[in-house]
Order: sequence, then C-alpha cells, then structure tokens
Amino acid sequence: MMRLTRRLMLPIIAFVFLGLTFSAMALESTAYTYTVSDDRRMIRTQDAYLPGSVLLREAGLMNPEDLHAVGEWLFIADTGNHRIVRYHLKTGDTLMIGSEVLKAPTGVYSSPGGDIYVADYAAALIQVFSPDGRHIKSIGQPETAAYGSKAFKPQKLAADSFGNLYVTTETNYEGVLQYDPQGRYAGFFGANRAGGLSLIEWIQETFFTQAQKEKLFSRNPPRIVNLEVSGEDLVYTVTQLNERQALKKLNMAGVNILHAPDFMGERNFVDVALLPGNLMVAVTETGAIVEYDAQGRYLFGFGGRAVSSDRNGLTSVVSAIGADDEGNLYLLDKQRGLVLPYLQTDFARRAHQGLSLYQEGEYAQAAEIWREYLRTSPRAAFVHRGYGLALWQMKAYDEARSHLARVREMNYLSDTFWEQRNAWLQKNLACILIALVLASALGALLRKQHRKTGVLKPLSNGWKALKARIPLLSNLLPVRRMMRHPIDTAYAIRHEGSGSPAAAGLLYLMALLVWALDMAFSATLFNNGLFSAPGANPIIAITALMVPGALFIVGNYYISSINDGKGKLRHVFITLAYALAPYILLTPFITLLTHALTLNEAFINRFLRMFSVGYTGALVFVALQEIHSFTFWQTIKNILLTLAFVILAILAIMILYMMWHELISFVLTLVEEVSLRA
Amino acid sequence: MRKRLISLGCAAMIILSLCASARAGWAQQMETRSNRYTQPDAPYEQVVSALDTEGFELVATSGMAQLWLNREMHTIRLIDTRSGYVWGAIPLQDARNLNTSWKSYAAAIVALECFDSKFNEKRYGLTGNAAVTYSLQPDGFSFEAHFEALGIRLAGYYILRDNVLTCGLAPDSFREEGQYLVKSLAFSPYLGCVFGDETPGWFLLPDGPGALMRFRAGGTYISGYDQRVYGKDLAIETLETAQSLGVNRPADYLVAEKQANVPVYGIVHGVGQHGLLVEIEDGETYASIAATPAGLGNTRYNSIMARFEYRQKYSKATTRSGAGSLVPQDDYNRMTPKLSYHLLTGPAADYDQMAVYYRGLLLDEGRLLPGKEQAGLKLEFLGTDIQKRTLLKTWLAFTHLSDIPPMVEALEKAGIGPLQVVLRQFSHHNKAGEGLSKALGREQELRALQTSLTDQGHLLLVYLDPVRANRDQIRLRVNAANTIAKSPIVIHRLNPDLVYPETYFFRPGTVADNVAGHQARFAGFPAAVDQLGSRFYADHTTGHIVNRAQAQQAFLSLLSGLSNDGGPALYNPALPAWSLATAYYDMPLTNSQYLFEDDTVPFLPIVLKGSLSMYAPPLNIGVSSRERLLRLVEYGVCPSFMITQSQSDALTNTPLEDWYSTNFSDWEQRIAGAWQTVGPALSKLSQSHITAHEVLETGRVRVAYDNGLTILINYTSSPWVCRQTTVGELDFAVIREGQ
Repeated sequence: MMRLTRRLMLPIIAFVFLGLTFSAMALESTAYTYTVSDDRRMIRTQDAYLPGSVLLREAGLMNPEDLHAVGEWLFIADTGNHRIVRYHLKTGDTLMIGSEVLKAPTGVYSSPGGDIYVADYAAALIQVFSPDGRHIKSIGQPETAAYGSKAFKPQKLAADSFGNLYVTTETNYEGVLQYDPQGRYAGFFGANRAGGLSLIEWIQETFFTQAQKEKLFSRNPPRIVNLEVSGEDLVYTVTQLNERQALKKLNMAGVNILHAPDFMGERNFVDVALLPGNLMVAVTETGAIVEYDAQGRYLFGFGGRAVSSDRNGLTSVVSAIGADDEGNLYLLDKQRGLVLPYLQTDFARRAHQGLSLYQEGEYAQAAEIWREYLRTSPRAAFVHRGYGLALWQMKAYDEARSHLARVREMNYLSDTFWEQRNAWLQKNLACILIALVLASALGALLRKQHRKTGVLKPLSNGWKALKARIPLLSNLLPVRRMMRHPIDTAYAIRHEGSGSPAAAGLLYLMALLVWALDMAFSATLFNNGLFSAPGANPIIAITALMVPGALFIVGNYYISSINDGKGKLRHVFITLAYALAPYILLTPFITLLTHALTLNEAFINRFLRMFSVGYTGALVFVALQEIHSFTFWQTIKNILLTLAFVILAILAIMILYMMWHELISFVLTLVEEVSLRA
Repeated sequence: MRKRLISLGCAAMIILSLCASARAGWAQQMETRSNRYTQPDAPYEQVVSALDTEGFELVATSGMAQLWLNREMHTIRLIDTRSGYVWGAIPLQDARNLNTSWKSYAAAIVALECFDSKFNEKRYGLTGNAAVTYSLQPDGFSFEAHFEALGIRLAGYYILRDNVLTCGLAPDSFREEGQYLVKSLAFSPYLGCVFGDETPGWFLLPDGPGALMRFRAGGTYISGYDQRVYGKDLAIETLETAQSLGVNRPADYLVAEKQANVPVYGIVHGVGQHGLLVEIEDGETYASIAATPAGLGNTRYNSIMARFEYRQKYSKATTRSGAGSLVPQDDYNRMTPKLSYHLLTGPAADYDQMAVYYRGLLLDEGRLLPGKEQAGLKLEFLGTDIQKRTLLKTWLAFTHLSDIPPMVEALEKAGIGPLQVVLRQFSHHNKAGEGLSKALGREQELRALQTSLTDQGHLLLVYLDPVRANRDQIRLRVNAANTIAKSPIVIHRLNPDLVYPETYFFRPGTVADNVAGHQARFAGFPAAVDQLGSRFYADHTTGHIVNRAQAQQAFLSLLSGLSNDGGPALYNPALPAWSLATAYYDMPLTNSQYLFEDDTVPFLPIVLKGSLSMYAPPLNIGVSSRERLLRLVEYGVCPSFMITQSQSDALTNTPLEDWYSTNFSDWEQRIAGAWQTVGPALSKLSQSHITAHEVLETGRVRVAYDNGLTILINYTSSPWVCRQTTVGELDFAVIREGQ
C-alpha cells in the first residue's frame, strides 16, 4: 500500500504544482504587483497580470483619449486623427470609423446592441455609428431649461442595456448627463457631494465679505471624469482629487452602493473597466492600475510608468483602460499612441475564481482556493478575508475567526463570536446555572454560620493586622471614600494629611497597569490595536501616556501656584491618584467583559467606558477644585492652562531631543573624522 | 487494482488540466507572441546588400573576406566573399534622412562625441573634422586622425584575418590638446545599419539571456537600448529609479532592467544568410552597447554600435542640500578600445549559431571552462535577520542549522537531488566576513551539516555578499565607496516602509577584508558569491581613488582566491568571472522587455550550457507557472527556491519581506512537483552543449543537443505533432533525433 501511495503521490504532487498554475502565462513582469497586507501595508505579491507586446504600434494613433473593449474588439477614440479605430484582437484587423464627421472624439462606447457611440468634444456632439461604421445620427446639447446654458463639452460616455446613454462633460459638476433610448435628455445622474470645508475655506466663509466671496472660485462638487456601465446596468463613475469618491457604483436611482469601509481610491484615476464578477480595475494617468473586488476592497496594484525607457507594461500618460471577456486588460497610452495589453495570470484568475465561487455560494470550493493562496500569499488581506468569509459561511467558526480578526472584518468576526458564544452557552448553560446556585447557597451558608459562630472572624482580624503592619494599605483606603465623597476626601488630603505619596504612586502604577492590560487583552472586536498592530511598541505607548500624565501633575501645581491655588504638589499628586479610582476599579471588569460581548452589545462596552472615564474626569475636576480652593470657572481655567503647559512642555522636550540628537551626531562625526585622519 | 487507481488518478488530472486550459484564447496567443518568447522567423527571400564598393579601394583580403576603404568619406566596406554580401555603414551618395554632420559620424571608421567648453555634446565624424593619414598594412590599414578644431589626436587600425575584422586604437595614441573633452568613441557606428525595415533581420542584444530587436519601419520611442557592459558604474551613474505614481502604493515598483553581462552583440541581415557577431575585445569595462530603433527621435535607421565611454556627466553638488550642475569627468577613462567583427554566413547567421560560435571562442581562449555542469535543484535557506519595531530592532531566526537536514531528507524521499544548499543570512548580524550567527547553531553543527550533505551527494555553500551593506552594517565615512561627487554610493528604494531603504557599497579595500574574513571563518565551505562577479564600480574616496577597471581586477582576484574552497557559485556573473565560477545563479529567463525588442532568445544559456550549472531565480517569487518550468527545460536551467523553516509571516517587517512566501511546508509539494517536471530532462542534458535552438511555430520550440537528444517544447494550448512525436499542450518531450 505504501508503494501504491508513493506511486500515486508523484503525479499528484506534480499536479499540485502544475494544476495550480496550469494555464498561467507567466515568466516575469516589468513592474511588481502589490497588495494590501493583513496589517494594512502595501506589500509585494505574485504577478497578477503580465504585460503583452504592444498593440497598434504602427497605426499612428495620435493623442487617443478613450478605449472600450467589447468581446474580441477594441474601440479607440483616436482623438488627434479625428476617428475611431476598431481593432480585432484575434486577427489584428482594423477599421477606421467616422473620419468624415468627427472632429475630436474623446469618448467611445459600443452598446450591447452594437451601435457605436462617440463623444465628440470639439463638435459638441454625440455621434452614433452602426456596427459597420455608418453614421446614424447626432445628439446635441440638451435644450431643456433643466440643463441650463452651460456649454456642452461631452467627454466620455456609456450606455446601459435599455439604451439609456450616460455622458460626462467638461462643464458639469451636477453629475452625469442621462439620455433616454430615443436620445432625449433625461436629466443629471449621480452627482458627487462637495467635501467639507478646509480650515482656509472656513476662515474665508466666516470673515470674507460677500463681494470677496464672489471673487473666489465656487465650491462645487468634484466633476465626474469617466464612467462605465456594468451588465447589470450599474453605473460606475470615476472622480479625481477625492480618494473616497474616486470610484462609485451607482444604482438606477443614482445612489452609491459601494460601501467598502477601507476603500483605497486614488486621486488621479482616469478610467475604470469591469471584469467578470463586477471586479473593478481603475487606472491613474500615471499608469498605476488597481484592481478591486465588487465591494471595493483592494486586490492588486500593478503597472506604472517609465519616463526614460520604453518597456512593455510601463506607460507615459494613460487615458483609458478596457477589459476583455477573458479578463485581460488594455491600457491606452495617450502620449505614445499605443495600446498596452496586460494578460491575466493564473494567480489573478484563481483569485477571481475564489471571489466568484463565494458569490455563487460554492463556499467549500472557494475555501479550497483560498487555502492554497495562504501558502503562496500568506500575508495578503484579500486571501485572509476570502478564506475567513468562506469558512464563516461553512460555519467553521473556530478557524474563520483568526482570519477575520487578521483583516479586522469586525461584523463577521462579531457574528462568528456570537455563534461560538451561543454554542458555548448552549453547552454550558446548565453547568453555569448550577454553579451560580451553588455559589449563592454557599455564600448564604457562610454568612449564616458567620453570624452564629463568627467563622469568618479570623479573616477580618487578619485584614486589620495586615493594615496595621502595612500602613500603605491603610493609605489606599481613601479610594473608596473618594468615589463617594470626593470633596471630603480632597479636603482630608489637604488639611488632615490623609493619603500618602507612596500609596498615590501605587495607584498611578495600578492605573497604568490596568490601561496596559486593557490595551493588550481586551477582545479584538473592541481593541484599537495600539499594542497588537504589527510594528506597535507597547513601551513607547506607555511612555507616551506617562510623560503627559507626569507633566499634568507638575504643570497643574505650578499653574495653580501662580493663580493663587492653595494645593501643594503633594496634594495634587495624591488627590489625582485617588481620583483615578473609578478607572482602576472598573477597567479590569470592562476588559474581561469585552470577551463576552459581540458588536450587538457594543453599547454596553461603550457605556461602561464612558462611565468610567466620565466618573474619573468628574473626580479629577472636583478634587482639583477642592485642593486649590478654586471656583468652577477658575478650575476650568486651571485645567486648560495645565493642558496648554503639557503641550508646550512636550514640544520643548521634542526640540531638546532633536538638538541632543544633532549634538551626538556631530560629536560622532567629529570622532570618526579624527580617527580617520589619525 | 493498483494500476486502475493510478490510471484513474492520472486521467482525472488530465481532465482537470484540460478544463484549466480551455480558457486559453487570444490571451495565450498574445503571451507566446510577446517578447518574453522567441518568435518564429518568416521565410525570407535572399537578402541583397544595398551597398557596393564603388569609390572604395581594396585594402585587404583574407580567404573569407575583403576589406575596402574610401578615403574621402573615411568609411569601409567589408565583403563576405563566401556569400558576396557587402557590409558597411551608409551609402556614399543617398544616405537618406541624415544631414552632413550625421553622415560624417555614421560612416566614419572612428567617430567621436565631445563636450565643448560649455559642456554641450556634439558628434564628430572624420569627414570635415579631421585630417586623416592612412598607412596600408598587409592585412588592413592603420590611420592617424587629427581633429584640429577639437585639439584631439588618435591613431588606430583595421585588420582583417580570416572572417574577423579587428579594429582598435593604438596604445597611448589618444591625446586631448584643446578645450574639447571626448565623451565617447565608436568605430564605424552605423556598420550594419538598416533603413526602416528595408532589409529583414535583427540586432542581437545582450539583454538578459539575449534579445532580438527586429528591424521595423518606425515606431514611437523615447529611448533605445543603451546599456553599459557589465552594468553601470555606480560611482558616476545611478540605477534607474521609478517615478512616483501619485498613488497609495510605494514607488519602488520597477523590475530592474537586465545587465549586459557579455560584451557582444549581433547583426543579422536575412536570418540564416548574413551575420556579424561583434565582440568588444578591450576597453569593455568602459563600453556601452547602444542600439537605436528606427523611429527614435528623427532617425529612420536601425543602428547599433559599441561606444567607448571616455567621460560621463555627473551631478556636481554646488549646495549643501546636494543640488548641483551636470559636468563631465575631469579625467578621461584610460583604455585601449578594441573591437572585432566576426563574419558569419549561411546557417551560422542566426542567434543560436552565434551563441555556438561565441562559445567556441570562449572555450578556445579559456575564458569559459568545460565540464563544470551538474543538474540539480538549488535551495537557499534564509537564516536570520532584523525585525523593525517602532523604535527597536530585534533579531529573528527563520531557519536553524538543525532545521535543514529534515527538509533535505523530505526532498530526498521525493526523489529530488542532487541539491545545492545555500545558507543565506547566516553570519553574525548578517555582515560579510563575520562568523556564523550563534542564534542559528554552532560551527560544529555547520561542519556536520556539510559532511552529511556531501555524503548524500549534495553541496553546501555559504552565501557571501562582500560588496553591499545596509545602514547598520557600514560606517559611511570609513568603509563606504564614494561617487565621483564625493558622496557615498547608495541605491535608494522609494519605499518608506522598508527596514533599510538604502543600500551602500563598500570600498574595494573593505571588500577584500570582508572576503578575507569570510575565508578565515568558513574555510572549506564553497561560497555562493553575490555582486563580486557582476558589480564593478569605481571608488572616488579622496586619497584612495580606485577606477572601475582596477576595481574589476581586484574583485576578480578575490574571486580567484575563493575558488580554493571548491567554489564559488556566482550570482548573475559578468563574463570575466565565468572561468572562476562553478555555477551561474539567477540566470535571467526574459529580457528587459523593451518595446523595440521582439524576442527573448537563449544566447547566454547556449553559451554556458555544458560548462556551468545554471540556476533560475527562485521560483517561489514572481509567478510560479507551467511556462516558467518549460522555460527552464528550454534553456537547460535548473530550478531554485528560497526557503525558511519558519512561517512566511515571520519575515514581516524584516529586510527579507519581499520574499513573501518561503515556508518549507508550504512549498514542499511544489518543489517536488517542479523537480518531477524538469529534473529528469535536465539530468539527461547535463554536460551537453546546445547545438541548435529554433522556433518552428509560435510557442513551439526545438532545442538540439550534442549528445543526440532533442527537446520539443510546446507553450501552446493545443497538442503538437513534431517528428512523429506528440507533445501535449504546455508540455515538452525529450527525443533522440532519428528515433
């Protein structure tokens, strides 16, 4: 049997290698492929696409502005030559269209019906041609009042399966112009939103006169520069200068349904193309190509430009991108007048398969693909996400959880935990209830016995003896009082010498410890990653907390002393420590509690934390007021001045650090120089 | 039952494979037609030279060729008497698309580029610029040229023997006496040029394994092929850096262009008809090979030349921030340029036969030694490196010495071997010349590992890069080599996430110290040496100036010393280091993919096969594909993998994180699969020379060996019947010719 296994293994091993990569076209690219890692950095990965040899090298394209790929055809708006070039990918046949009527075609689209729509920028017309290149009709500027009197400068266009035409223009920020199948203007569609005011804009808005404001450029939403229509008649738009709105997926109502929380757009996208499965591939004018999944999550970044050499796959100025049915891409290099193909590798194809299988509900097959990807791209976020989601769908929650946590897919992670918690509760609920009942019965019994026989007396005696032996413990007791009677406690600290610096120091340490434990051990769903993110350094984080804390104490004393505050440094130090009591006492419970909560119960976590911090803040305020004998407003002023002191002190420390660093560097250089010449 | 199971398994795999390949359409056609592959040649009609000897005098005759000279235009004609083909630069009368000054430059037997007093560049041919005197010799002629206006004198010769025309400058004949500074010198810069696509053919470029630039009518280009032989001199040139794309990803996205590791290029007019193999025999350390496609700038000619760089411009800093102006070197590079044109005719006028011819030259002259080749699989183990945290850096171990034997054993069980095992990142703090890192094991363990691997027929090598350093490994003022602008030589990667974005280079003296340290600490271990055989750079440190030629000589001498330990294997070495190497690592599998290149051809593999073991770059990076394996078989190159025992994740935030998948357990099956595919074929071809390489159809290649075996490689998605053998889709077959 062993021999049989071995004989079977050889072809199987070979197949694992070959089958994985069987139809890939892969030797080497001219630019590296990047993806987003699970720790949200850009890392290199296997080549997703490889450059092919350029197309239409000898066609003499001049400043071509648009490219549209349909089936085996490429349509190119050869702007400088006033024509449309139709190119057959298999045979290389070309057909020149519209030379007689076109002036400066900047957009071209072949509709599902085969008609060719052309946006002629210079003629201010949309020209329509039959599939064989015959001119059918022209569509001009909308003549309705709704359009207004703006010049009509059509640039790009696309049509849906109903025959509706969508046109971007140079002059409109209200959105895409929509025409009905009869060529009648139907209104604007999918306008962008203007961004919030910058600081300068806010100042202008607040202080400028109306006349001054009128001289400023109007603050319009960014203009849509390109668009594409999917087979499902969703309209994809491209917007520049705004990463969040760089790509939008608009439904028929013009509402953006692309809601990737971590969408990484680029400010200089010029075009978008769609791959099967509604994967989006966008390109910047610099030739950087980014592929996203249907939800807008980053898959691959590749391509680029080479300004001083001519290499396949590297561009100069890109104006458009298209995708064929096989998933290959075609970039239009406007400056060189070339079409650069990018051929899909097996690596990308398998990723697309994984995404597609997931969409189709074939979760086991999708998981199989992603499992293999974990070997070759173990850090790619899309791999962990794909695998985690497939496992989640397969109800393999235990395994899914770690992958979902790595890519911080919080909603799915929360659901996963909910399922796990549910299963655990179902399994252990009876035991828990029994344990609780037994514990309360035991407690009741102990209390009863204690009342009768004083069975717990040794414990309370022991505690008293301990307090007597270790005064520090006694000095910690005002904590309880501080939480209920902060004014009295602060009074006692100032006037009766209550508390001790040692106990206060211990409390500061405890506060620091519970904070650190909270950062380190609170559940992923509620953890901000300050300690756990790759590259994070807890020591730095703790230092970053301690230094301002210490500065606050010292600063508060000095600020109050020049503002007639009565408190001494000792008082400030001790009082603030006791004021931290709610935080110290509540935070460990919250940390533990996060491990029992899902996002459905996130409000509990939020409330408890707000309560803890709010309570602590209130105690700090009251304690400072009492310690310094300030009024309410004096205390506010005192705190604000203290915060200002902290900021200035930190700045001063940074400057000193830099100067010290320079000094050390200078001395080292000097020593090196001397030793070199010695 | 067993047979049935095996058959069933195989059948299932074949069906699955067919399903996988059903997708292949025009994309695969585009792939095999890309310049990553060799393209089939269209049947050419007999090519007739557009040149003649009218106005020329016959100055030399050999049994195979004649040399003619025109003293007015100072240009030559070279006739291959076996075919009657006339080689030359441009026609005397109707050189189209060239003005007088360009005609003078293009035709001249020797031509100059000079800087004037304002450092502007201008070209000068002999006609109208120089007083030239000729002296006829029995087998050629010598000349003296005086560029009076430029204040430049030189003397040279053209000698014809058999099928070889040799030209060069007479030693110490070069003089600069005026304000003009010579930038470069070329012999017959347009010899073999073609106007547009009027003559079918190509230039063979030493780009990667080899590349063909086919003659086209024109195109839109912004640059041609212009590469320094043996790579750029980093003391005066920087490597190509990518421009920011204005996007979220880092700007270190460019795959580096391939270095020209051989000082040769080829010209073919009509494949299988007329060819010239041009070798730079002397001065190659300062030479460039420059090929210009028709359409670049205003030129309509395809031309190629060897250009000897006497001076280059560099940025001389004039402010503290480093801003400066471009000025040429003060002193010119000392050299004695020498070039030879080898006339090839008939079937020899093709890239594969050029390689065979060149191999013969190298073997005859001892620059390449026969019989060092052994097929195998290379595993490079990554030992240890630094991991970056917010302020701290910590050392992590990825593969301990004790981890290696079980991995080797596992591969042996899968029938893989012999292995070349390379230990990388194994020295203390990864510094060249330091001893074994204690975190990875003890020296006794290393000796024991070597013994056990040797006993099993494998070879253990220790990686050495004595040339490069990161910021923590070098004292810039003490050890770093400096540029001509007196700043440390550095290569920046535009990626702020990197642990070490800068790479520095040691001074030649420190390089020698590093090598000595390595030899002392790893005596008896063959070395796998990076950079030393391929990166030749000058050092302009004040008081310790070493020019490029001296550095090259010093590095080769160090390599020679390393051969005592049975090595070294060299990473992508340049020609001068070949005779010192036992293996060629990181053999490029494609050219740089310039737009004007149409084919990748296996010029280097044909030259080296049978002499040096060749290993591909690690297959676990880039794309591991069936095509890549087929390419290994086509070129006779062995596979290699980069491996760690630890999970690949462990390399995060280390200088090694570009090796994104290295874990052995993740790759074990793939390594086995790769070897099952290529190993048996490569083993049969070991110690044999390639005699012919031809593309019969697009994506279908035949490679013949001198041991009688022929490899048929099918890159297409349909089966191929060739010589009564059916080669499956994306598959290959080894046949014995005549069977």
